[in-house]
Amino acid sequence: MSSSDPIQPHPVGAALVVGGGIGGMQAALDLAHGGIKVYLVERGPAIGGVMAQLDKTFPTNDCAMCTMAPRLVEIGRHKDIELLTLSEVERVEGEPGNFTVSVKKQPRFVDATKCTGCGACTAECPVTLPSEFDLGLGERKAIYRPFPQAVPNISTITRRGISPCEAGCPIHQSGQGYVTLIAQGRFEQALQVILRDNPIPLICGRVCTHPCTAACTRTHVDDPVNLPALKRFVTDRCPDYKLPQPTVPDRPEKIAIVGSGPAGLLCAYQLRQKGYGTTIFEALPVAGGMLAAGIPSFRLPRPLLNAELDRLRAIGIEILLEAPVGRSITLEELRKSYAAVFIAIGAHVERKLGVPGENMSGVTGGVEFLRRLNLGGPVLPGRHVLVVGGGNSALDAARAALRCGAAEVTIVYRRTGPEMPAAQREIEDAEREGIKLMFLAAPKSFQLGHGGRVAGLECLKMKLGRPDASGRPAPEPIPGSEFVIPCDAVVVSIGQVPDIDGLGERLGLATTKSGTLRADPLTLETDLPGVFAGGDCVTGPDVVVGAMLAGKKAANSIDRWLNSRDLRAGRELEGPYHTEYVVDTAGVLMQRQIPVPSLDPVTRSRTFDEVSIGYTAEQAITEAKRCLACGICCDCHLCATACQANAIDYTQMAETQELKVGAIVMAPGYELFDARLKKDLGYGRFPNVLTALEFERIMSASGPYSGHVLRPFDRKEPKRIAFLQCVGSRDCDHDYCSSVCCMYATKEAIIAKEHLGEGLQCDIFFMDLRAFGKGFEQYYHRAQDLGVRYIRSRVPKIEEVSGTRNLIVQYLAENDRKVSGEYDLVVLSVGMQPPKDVKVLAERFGVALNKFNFCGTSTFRPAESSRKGIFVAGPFAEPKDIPETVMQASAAAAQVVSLLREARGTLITPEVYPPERDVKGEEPRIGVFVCHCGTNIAGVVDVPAVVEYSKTLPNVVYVENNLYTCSNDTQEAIKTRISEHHLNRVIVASCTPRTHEPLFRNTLREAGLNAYLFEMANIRDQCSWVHMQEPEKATEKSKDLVRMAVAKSRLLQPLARRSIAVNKSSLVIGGGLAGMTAALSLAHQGFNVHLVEKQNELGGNLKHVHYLLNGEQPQAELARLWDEIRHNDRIAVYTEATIERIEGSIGDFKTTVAGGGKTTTVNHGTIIVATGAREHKPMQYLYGQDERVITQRELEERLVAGDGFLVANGKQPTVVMIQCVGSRDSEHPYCSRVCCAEAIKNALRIKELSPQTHVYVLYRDIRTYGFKEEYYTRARQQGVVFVRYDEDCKPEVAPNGKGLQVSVFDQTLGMPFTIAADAVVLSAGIQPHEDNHQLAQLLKVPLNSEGFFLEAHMKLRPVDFMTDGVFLCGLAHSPKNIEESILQAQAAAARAATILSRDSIELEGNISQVVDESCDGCAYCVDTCPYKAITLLEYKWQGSIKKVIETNDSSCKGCGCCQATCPKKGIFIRGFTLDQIEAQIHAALGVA
Amino acid sequence: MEDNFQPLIIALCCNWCSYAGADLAGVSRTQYPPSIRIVRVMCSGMVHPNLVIDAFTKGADGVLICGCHLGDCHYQEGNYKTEKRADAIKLMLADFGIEEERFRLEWVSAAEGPRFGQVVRDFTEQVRKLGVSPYKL
Repeated sequence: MSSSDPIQPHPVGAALVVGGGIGGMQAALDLAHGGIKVYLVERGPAIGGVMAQLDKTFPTNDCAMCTMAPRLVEIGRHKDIELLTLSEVERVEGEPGNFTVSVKKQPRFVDATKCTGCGACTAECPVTLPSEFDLGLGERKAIYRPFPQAVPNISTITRRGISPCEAGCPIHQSGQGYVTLIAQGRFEQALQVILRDNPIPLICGRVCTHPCTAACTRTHVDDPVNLPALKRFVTDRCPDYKLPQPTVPDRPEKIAIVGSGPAGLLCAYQLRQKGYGTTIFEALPVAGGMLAAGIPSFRLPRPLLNAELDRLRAIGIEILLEAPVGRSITLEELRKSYAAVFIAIGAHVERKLGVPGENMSGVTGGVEFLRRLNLGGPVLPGRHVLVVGGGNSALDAARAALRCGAAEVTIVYRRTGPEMPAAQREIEDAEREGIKLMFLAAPKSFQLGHGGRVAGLECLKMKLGRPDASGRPAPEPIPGSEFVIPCDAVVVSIGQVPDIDGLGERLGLATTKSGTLRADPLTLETDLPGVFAGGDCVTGPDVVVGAMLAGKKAANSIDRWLNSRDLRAGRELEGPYHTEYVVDTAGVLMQRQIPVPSLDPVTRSRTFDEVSIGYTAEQAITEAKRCLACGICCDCHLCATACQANAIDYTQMAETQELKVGAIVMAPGYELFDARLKKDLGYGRFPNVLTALEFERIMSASGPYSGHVLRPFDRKEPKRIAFLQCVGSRDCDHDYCSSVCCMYATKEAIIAKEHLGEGLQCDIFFMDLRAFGKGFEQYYHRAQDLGVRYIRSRVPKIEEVSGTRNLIVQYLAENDRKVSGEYDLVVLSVGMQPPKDVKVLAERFGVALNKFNFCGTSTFRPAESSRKGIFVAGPFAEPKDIPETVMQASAAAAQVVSLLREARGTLITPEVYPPERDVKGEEPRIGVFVCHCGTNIAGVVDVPAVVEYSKTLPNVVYVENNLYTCSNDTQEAIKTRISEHHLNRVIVASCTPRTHEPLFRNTLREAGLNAYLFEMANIRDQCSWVHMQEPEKATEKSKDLVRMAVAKSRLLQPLARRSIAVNKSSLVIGGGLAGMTAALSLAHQGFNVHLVEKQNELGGNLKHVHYLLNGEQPQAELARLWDEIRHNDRIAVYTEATIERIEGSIGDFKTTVAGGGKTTTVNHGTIIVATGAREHKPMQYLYGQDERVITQRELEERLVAGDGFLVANGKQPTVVMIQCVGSRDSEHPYCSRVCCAEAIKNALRIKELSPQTHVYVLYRDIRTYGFKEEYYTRARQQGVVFVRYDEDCKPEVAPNGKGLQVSVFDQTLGMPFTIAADAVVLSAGIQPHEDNHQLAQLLKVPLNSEGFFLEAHMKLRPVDFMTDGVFLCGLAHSPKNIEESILQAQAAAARAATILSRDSIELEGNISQVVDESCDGCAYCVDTCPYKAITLLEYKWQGSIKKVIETNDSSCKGCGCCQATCPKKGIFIRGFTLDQIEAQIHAALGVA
Repeated sequence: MEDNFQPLIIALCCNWCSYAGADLAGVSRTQYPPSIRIVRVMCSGMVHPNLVIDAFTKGADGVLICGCHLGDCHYQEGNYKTEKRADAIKLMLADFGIEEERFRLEWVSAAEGPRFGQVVRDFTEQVRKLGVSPYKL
């Protein structure tokens, strides 16, 4: 199988890329540039992966974010890459060329089309949580962007859902919302959150039973959060609050509401907010229903109740008193005059005991007693008062009787305390005030006394029986137990019913058997159209908030009914419901609810003063901080208020979409090993033990400590840091090497020393230092030179010093001595693991995993998964570093393009612009657009003043201000203004051109203006955000910046982006494995290739490789490659050929190839350098002098030849292999990367052929990175002896009789060691070809100090040269193995294809231009140009020699080094000319 | 010297690192004095010494050039050239009677927002102490 195999006829021209890390990003860009539409699926809210979290990258110490940020922006803006963040693939169906993929997208709760990423929401958000980006070392808000450069630049809300308190509240007040704000002392905002759903919070804070607290998760820890007390606290704290005025225009419809209790009030409020007129009809002379008539003032002070009612009146709610409907006005009349009616008349009629004597003088109902008291003033029921009942009303009546002057008050209840329906707190309060409780007594009759007045209550003793319908034990009378309680008054308070008598009849409405009104429980509709009923009159007596729910529901129904909308749809979550979240309560300290202070019982029991005093601010904050933040987002809606773009959308839900793609690239990345599993290392227990990535964040300038290297425990600078290698790598659970840790630890040690000075002690504990990559060995030496100590030992255990919390690292030194050292900080180099849910992932995609649960690949198919059409990249395949990830991603892209080549270009969006207007000769007409950026700019800078000022500037003909200049509608507006005002220059005064210039330039192009007639003034990042405390100066500076932009803008000229027609063929130099692979990949992608090889046949070094560690057959593969190339019409092979000359540049090269006695000139658009390298020829260890000393390559030939070499013939031959011959020495200061694995391969082969043969490997570090580690383990198991030597003490080989004697100082044993050997095998390194220099000059590309070709960027552009259109792969780049060569070759092909797939390429306009009149050919610029883009021309003119320079537009990158060097103003960078810069400076200085 | 003298400083920042660092200072709400006026250039290596001298003679109290850290240059080696030119600029300043301390070259990466603020604070204070530019008096 190969990627050139035909697939089904009509492939889809789109590909799916899974994972937005650096691998996924590379694949996406290469695909999109190669003509394939891309869907990039990322699980998190932003792309960037782990690289975004890195501070620096090795071995160049580049800032990771600096190098990747432009790439993030490019992806975010690419027209052919659709970014699906917060998304995961659920299913993959179909065949290569035509897959159907289901992608589930989690809600962001922010409308991506509206959000501008301004961050105003984040500033307001009260919820903080540990930042994932900073690995919990720092905090973030619930609405956030993971890092400042995040793409997409859109906020996300972390929202688990509605918190249990909010769900449990009948009217869904955001408990978590106001509690969170109280905890931060933001009381006014907390009140606003409450007012969102509740217009009578003063009342509710006092009398509501608060079902929210019953749902509180904190109950599972200790006590619920005291939401009622907190609500009361904020309302008391801000007593002069107002209700929000309706924000919609008044509507013509008026609604009648009968009853002014909580149900009526809520209904009126809700309807008023929707613009309806509302009139409440109240039968009593006071408003408030049971709140006014039933609840005594010591629980609800009347001035507070009246204040709430006044607030409702203030928003236009009319309350008519003494207006009993059914008596003074009929329901029919209401129906005629009002658009709808809501009946909420409550339940005010007492239930009777039904025992003899109930009508006797001195016996009253509880409600009646309280009503008289509340409406008329204190009334003494008697001196010795009995109150019958156990509910809140009974308690209220008893406590009120005491305050009216009763000497003794006793509550008579037929069950016991725990069954009482009254609130526990009320019962306790009553007892403290001196009220007696008599349980298990049920009235049997009233005893008549003098004057017809009650004198006693005859009761029966009760006992508790089985539970009844209410779930409580039923009281059962004990026969013959009658007794009499003497008294002079009895208050019977056993509940209420609605005003049954003629209620329904009076109103013309149907009633139920229990005497309540009949209404639909969901919609509250009655039988009469337009008449709704709810509250106690429908449900029977209920708590206040139950009635409020009815009012809210009624308002909803009435609104729906009046607007002819469905009354039933979507009301499932109206009213209380149950939610529960798994809230991590581990580590939550027990902290009981703070009791609410109240008046002392003796004083208060004689007055009607309010009993409860309420929290102090300090108490409220402490109590509020007990909240566990169950919903994460607290639903306070402050972000929605802050967002002027109206982008917040709490209603978003998860969505699934189906995508059609032709192929898939999987780059889902990796997980770091969970260091907690290595218990002895103390991670998670000891605060100063960190993982390397955590330390990376600490060192980052944008990290949690702003780049100050501090240890977490005491934020002190560490003086001694230990780095522990191989944590979660190279152990029995992970028999692989994570490949990157040695170098990242080295990097972190170097950078830490840069931060804290050379005095910082950095010790790296390691087993083998695996510095195998390009430039790594030198980097390792640099670290040693800087004083980083490398200690060869695996640390088994770390202990903590109490007090200082320093760490004791115990280890065995190489000489077996036990050593321990004390450190301030320990950094664990944690290894790479497959993603946590890798098995689910593999199953969904149908790809196989290897035994380590990575998606292993094969040597010759290094980017392919087990499923055809699905390719892999990055550490998901095998632990690897950034450049290998990038190469594999590009290689995967090449494979995809090969597979889908017939559909290339079918799904990408063409760029179509109107013809460009010629502005030549026009006076500049500048339009300035000043952005508010919500409040980001306007909150500090006086934007109108900047606008007015801008109007005064020369050539400015139009100025406007925009809320968000980057929004889609403003782009349209800008286009209109350009045409209306005939603008020929545009300035946007807003944010940074680094992110927004491409957008606005595109807008100009769409309006027919040249893109370069645009300039930005960055008044956000440079004014409002950095001078927040000095608004006037920020405004002045903003004016200056606009003036500077205008000054430059007046000098702007349209710039042409030169277009070059692309020759769709490529030159590949070198016909080894890399060159052949690159050539085939390009041919499979549909491009012609000229493959030039200097030898007489293709194959290079691969011809000498006969077997591989994993058993694959290299010679069979080589034969296949030969065959494929021979039969591929697109590939022209030139053998025994050399490159004579290369002219031209990207898209259009012309090369002269000499070979076979003739020269040929070929034209091509790109070049791939794949010239390889050679085996080092040893000069030591008797090589060339004794035939028993051979190289590994020669050994392999001998073993394959089967000539009996080293085969045991009755004896036990001994082979000694010596590593690092021609590597890692002063002449070759680099690691050849492959020799360790080669030696192990051959050692295993010897053991296989002849198990008795002794094999010794003399090594310095075994560098079997990745999955090759397994073979190292296997070799040791099979008896291969590994002896470590030191560079300073190299082995010696001497003839010894018939054999050879090898002497070595064994560093592990610390003693010399002699081996009698039959053969010595040298692991000769890889050396660059000497003629690289010649080729580098032809190509104008650089070599590194060792003579290998130097790529454009070691991490992110590993196959590109700085010279556009020229690419690099294979051993010419650096030593690498077969798999890596293939990947890099395919990657080079992918990169070349991004150019070859286009018909033409546009070059950037900001490049150099020569002013011939000024240039005198001094040629200073020629040397200074980093791109060798300038040539000196000499010509004869009028008899004398003239000199002038010429620049190559295709090579010039516009850095401007030439412009700064030229003494004569003879060359400049278009768009950044000296005149333009000077104009800006002069404008800044206020000189003309 | 006026106590409340607020110097006016021209800052030439390269697009790739230090202009981005200034952006990050903004994003991070790093506060610094409103003394600088940033001119964006593609590379610190494109700043002609004459531009610096011109700025001084036209009344700038200070001139700051910011580029990528050495080795980080987007154009490979532009900032090495800047470094050499800065030495030349310092020599020229003496000829023009301008204190060398009014000119500064700093490397600021795209990740060093707070450091950019610190550079501006330090340099502003340094220039403030020197007082108003001799060319303005």
